[in-house]
Amino acid sequence: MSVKHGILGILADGPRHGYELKTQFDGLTGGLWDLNVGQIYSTLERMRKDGLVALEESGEGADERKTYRVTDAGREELDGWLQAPPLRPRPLRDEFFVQLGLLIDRNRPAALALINGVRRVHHLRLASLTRQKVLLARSQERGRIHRELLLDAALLHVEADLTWLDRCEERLGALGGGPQAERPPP
Amino acid sequence: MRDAIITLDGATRRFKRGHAVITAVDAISLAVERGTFTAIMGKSGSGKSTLLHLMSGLLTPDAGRVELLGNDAGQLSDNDLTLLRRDYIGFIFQFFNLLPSLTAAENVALPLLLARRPRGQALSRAREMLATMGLADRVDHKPDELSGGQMQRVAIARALINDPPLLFADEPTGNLDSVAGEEVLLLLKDLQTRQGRTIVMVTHDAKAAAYGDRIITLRDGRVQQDIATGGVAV
Amino acid sequence: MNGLYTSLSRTYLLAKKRRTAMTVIGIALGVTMVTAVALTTAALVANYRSVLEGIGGRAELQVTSIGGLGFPAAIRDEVAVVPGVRAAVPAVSSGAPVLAGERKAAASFYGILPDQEALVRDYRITDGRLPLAAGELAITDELAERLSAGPGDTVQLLSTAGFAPFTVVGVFRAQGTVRGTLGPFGVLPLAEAQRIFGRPGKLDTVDLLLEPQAKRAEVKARVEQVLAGRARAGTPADRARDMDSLLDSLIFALGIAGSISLFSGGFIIYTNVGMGVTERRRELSVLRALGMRRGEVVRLVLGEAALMGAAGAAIGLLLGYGLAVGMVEQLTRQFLAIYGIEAAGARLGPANIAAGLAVGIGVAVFAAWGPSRETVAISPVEAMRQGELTRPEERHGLRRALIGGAITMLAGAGIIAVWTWGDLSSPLTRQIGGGLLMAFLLGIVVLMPVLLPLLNRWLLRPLAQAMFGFTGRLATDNLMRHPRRTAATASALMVSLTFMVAMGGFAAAQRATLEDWFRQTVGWDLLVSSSYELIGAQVEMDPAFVEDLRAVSGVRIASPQRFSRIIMGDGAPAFLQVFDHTLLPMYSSPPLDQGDWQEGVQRLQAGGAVMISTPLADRLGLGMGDELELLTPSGPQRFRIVGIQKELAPFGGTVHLDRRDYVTYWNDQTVTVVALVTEDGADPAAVQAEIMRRYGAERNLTVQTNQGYWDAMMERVAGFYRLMDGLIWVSILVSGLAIANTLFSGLLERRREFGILRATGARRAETMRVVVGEALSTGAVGGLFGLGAGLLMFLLMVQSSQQFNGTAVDLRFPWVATLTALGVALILAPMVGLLPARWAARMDVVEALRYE
Repeated sequence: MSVKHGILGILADGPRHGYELKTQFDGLTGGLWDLNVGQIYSTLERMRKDGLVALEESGEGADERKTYRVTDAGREELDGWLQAPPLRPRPLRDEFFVQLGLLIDRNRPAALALINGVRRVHHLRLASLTRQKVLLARSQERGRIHRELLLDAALLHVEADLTWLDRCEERLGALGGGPQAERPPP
Repeated sequence: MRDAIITLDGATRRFKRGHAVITAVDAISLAVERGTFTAIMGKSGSGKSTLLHLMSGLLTPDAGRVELLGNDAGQLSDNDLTLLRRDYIGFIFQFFNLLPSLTAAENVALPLLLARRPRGQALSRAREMLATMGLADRVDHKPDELSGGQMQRVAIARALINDPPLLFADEPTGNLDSVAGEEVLLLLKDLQTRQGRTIVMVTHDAKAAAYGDRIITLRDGRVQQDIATGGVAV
Repeated sequence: MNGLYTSLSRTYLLAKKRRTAMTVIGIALGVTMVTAVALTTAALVANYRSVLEGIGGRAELQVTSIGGLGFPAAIRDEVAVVPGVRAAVPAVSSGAPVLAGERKAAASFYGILPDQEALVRDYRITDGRLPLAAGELAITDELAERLSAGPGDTVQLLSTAGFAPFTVVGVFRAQGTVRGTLGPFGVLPLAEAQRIFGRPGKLDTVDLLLEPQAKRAEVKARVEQVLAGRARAGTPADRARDMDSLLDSLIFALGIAGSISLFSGGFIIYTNVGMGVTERRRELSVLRALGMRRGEVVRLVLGEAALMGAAGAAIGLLLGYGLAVGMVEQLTRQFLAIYGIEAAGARLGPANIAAGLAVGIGVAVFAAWGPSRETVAISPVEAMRQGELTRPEERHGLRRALIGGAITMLAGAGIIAVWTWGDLSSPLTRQIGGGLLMAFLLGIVVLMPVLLPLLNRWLLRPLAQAMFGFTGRLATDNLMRHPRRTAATASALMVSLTFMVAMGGFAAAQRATLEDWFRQTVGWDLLVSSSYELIGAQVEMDPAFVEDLRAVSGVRIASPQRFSRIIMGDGAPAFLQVFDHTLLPMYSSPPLDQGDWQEGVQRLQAGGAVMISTPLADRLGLGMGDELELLTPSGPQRFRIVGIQKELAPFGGTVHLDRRDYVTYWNDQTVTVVALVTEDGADPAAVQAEIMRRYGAERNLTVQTNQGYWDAMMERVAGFYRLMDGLIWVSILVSGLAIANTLFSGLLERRREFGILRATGARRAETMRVVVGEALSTGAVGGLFGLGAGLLMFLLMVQSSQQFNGTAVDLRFPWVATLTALGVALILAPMVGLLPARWAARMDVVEALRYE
């Protein structure tokens, strides 16, 4: 569960309150991991119950803030996680897989059209990632290496998806438009 | 509608392969607007290189029309086409295509020298150009003393020496590692966005194509997909 | 493995059709050059040899006259009884024009004893029989055809006293031992020949057959004892020295031409095959990487080279034969006709074919060996990697410069030494000299790649830039990328131009020298001879006729002159010129190297004195005031040398004698030519017409005017140089084609570069300029070195002309030859480049860019 471990890692540098944690987590993932503040707080609450973090309240009244710090048990958990490779590869879960599976035998032209549509989306995604890369390169900001690496990861994943789409198209194209006549699309 | 720098109207080009006639570009109609970065994608044999050659006037269409910088390419003589290339068009190739007997600076100055500009002037302009590419210390090196990325930058400098409004790049990153390739692509992107040049690039690499603000995918000599990525603003 | 080899080779050779074709054409050009020259030389040498064999037949010893005037017939009976002599067969020989109706021919005629003749010579009679009685004649089938005459027909032979009728009684085929007698000839009874050729009681030769166990040297000594100086004895081979030394010079020159052709042809083949192998380096490395052993790769490449060598040689043999027949043979005929010799045609024999194949295959395999070794020496991985940019040729600059410099210097020093101290009349010295010359040129070739960059900076680049602008500079830079290849291509042209400058310059200098001599020496208006000047056969005239000529109106002086060949004390021939010195000074004052003409004339008139030419004086080690011993029919006689003449006739030296002495000691009144000086106011042409009217038909006279004589003399000289020119132009043509071929091959290698040029804005015309600029630069390199070496050779030739050629030549700068060489280098070479240039310009840009 890497949101938990990400929070532990950030808190290892010193106590933070909830909103600070959200900002730093976004920085860590290059903004590629959509996470809202609510999810942060619910995770923190679970971690507090497990004894990984402790809540420190400071300030009074309107100034009151809830600050979190890491416990010894939390540190132990973090160190263990940082050195352990993931047990399973990244799961591939995409609604397009399901769509494709349902269309292949029922309506091949529709499957091909869908592939084209998905490809357009991927190209647009690539373009937007590339734009970020260009902006990053022009900004000359220090420490951009981490973000560049993350952008590369995203780009290469999308590229892999595009390559796979090409293969799908090629294999389906080679089969011809057979099943269409038998069963009209639902 | 913005100003079109290249217009294809039913442009067709066929080749003979043995006894078979292959239609490499099959009645393609499209317009490339000034100041845009167009990427042409497709598998090998899809006709993308032929399309680039048609757009750049290296080939003339068997049928249809290609209008290049306001001229009907099919009507121009070989000499006029050559002059058009020399003065208004820059080329960047996959294999860099530098002349091995010339130094980097001389290679860059080649179009000027061919246009009979004074040698000293041409070379000093080439040196400036190379300096802006970060190759100030390589001007007197022969191509075989340069790395792939450096050679490609020399080739880009050569393409730019005449300050052409239109640049064609044929797999410019095909022979480079990913880091050098990205540098070249960033350079091209800058040439478009900061200097307002029109770029047409052929690539089979989706990551490279993503630098374009328009991605045209070819299949069997026809346009399969034409995607505007909306990236002109960058 | 063999099957794999063949299929690999076939696939490669067929896939790269153009490359293969260029290589084969390159080999073919090389072999063409070698074959054309070899065939021409062979035809000439064969003719030359057959003259000697034909004269001698089966004879092991031969008695010949000293002065070319025959010897007493009694001598035959004396030598016949010398111990060891089995048979002595007498003969009289002369060249004579022969007429049958309207048809004319020139032929040699032999007076024979039909019963004895069969001992030394075979006659294959095809029709009729050998002549037995007076007025009978047998002729070769060739002559019969030319005269359109057969047994029973009457023909006219020109004799000392005019035409004599003969009846043809036999036709025989010239073959075997008589075939050699060269061209058409006829035989007639000995007595008849003695009568009509003005040799009563005399013989020209006696052929001796020896007893089986007799030793030739011993018999020769005994025969010489019997002859006691009245005639001389020799082996047939000794006759070789009697031939004009000009023929010797020609054979030598042809030998050099052969070496040039071998040299250039070799380079052409070397360059082409080498390029092919280098281009294949990557492919060969793949084979290596896939497990082919070094030896196997080398064998594969060499096998292919041999295959292409054989194909090229086959084409080259045919082309060479065509050239030899079509062009060079014509010139040979013209040249030999001057000497009264009819040339046999060029024949492509097994030896030529073997030689052509050996050169084609041998050089191709040799050329492939180096690059293929280089290829397998570097690791396959490295070789495969260098795809994009061809690695520049390795440069062993210093080593190469040292080796090349050493060869050039040593050979140069050797040449100067041989020319200065060597005896240039000896064939061995000439061969050594020729070899050194080749070594000298080879040294330059080795040195050339090292010199090229310098030359490029100081000459080629500025030249090309001036002519073609930036594209010109691109051209020279391209050439500099392969200095060795450029050097090899330029070498072929260089060698050709070297000889062009030397020969052309020498010809011009000789002509100018002759012109000077002619102005001083030839003061007569008309020259009367009873001969067919064109075919060189001369028949002597009787002295009474001189008086007849003097009586012709308009003639002021009729001065008899007698020329013949004599054998000097050292056994070598010289040219005997006999003049009436009461008349000669009135129309001639020949240039003397030593002595005074007027004074010399007085001493000659007084008798017992001679003038000799410089080379003869040098040869015999004699000077002014020394005594010269001449072998005369009346025995050895001593003459005081009163003048040393400048030598201008290529006959191995001249002896200048007064007519009274000649008549006394040679006992001969005949006259070779009569020089006429006309009265003031008399029209020489009218006098000529009058003489022809009175005596022309009867004596079949030739009357030459002063100008006509000059023209004829020039024609003789020109004949020699035309032949040389023909060979030189063949080699220049082939060198030019080789430049085109190498350029083509270079273009195949660099197609993409031309694509880039076109894509970056070079117009077709500019692309062409690059290629033409390369041709121009190659031409300029070949021209520069060729001109330099040629001028050097010219200088040596002029300086040694007296010894080498027997004639003096004044030194004059060879402007025409120099300009022609420059023209070839700077105009012809670029023109040759137009062909590949057009191809480069028309190349499809897109295709070219794609070319790997």
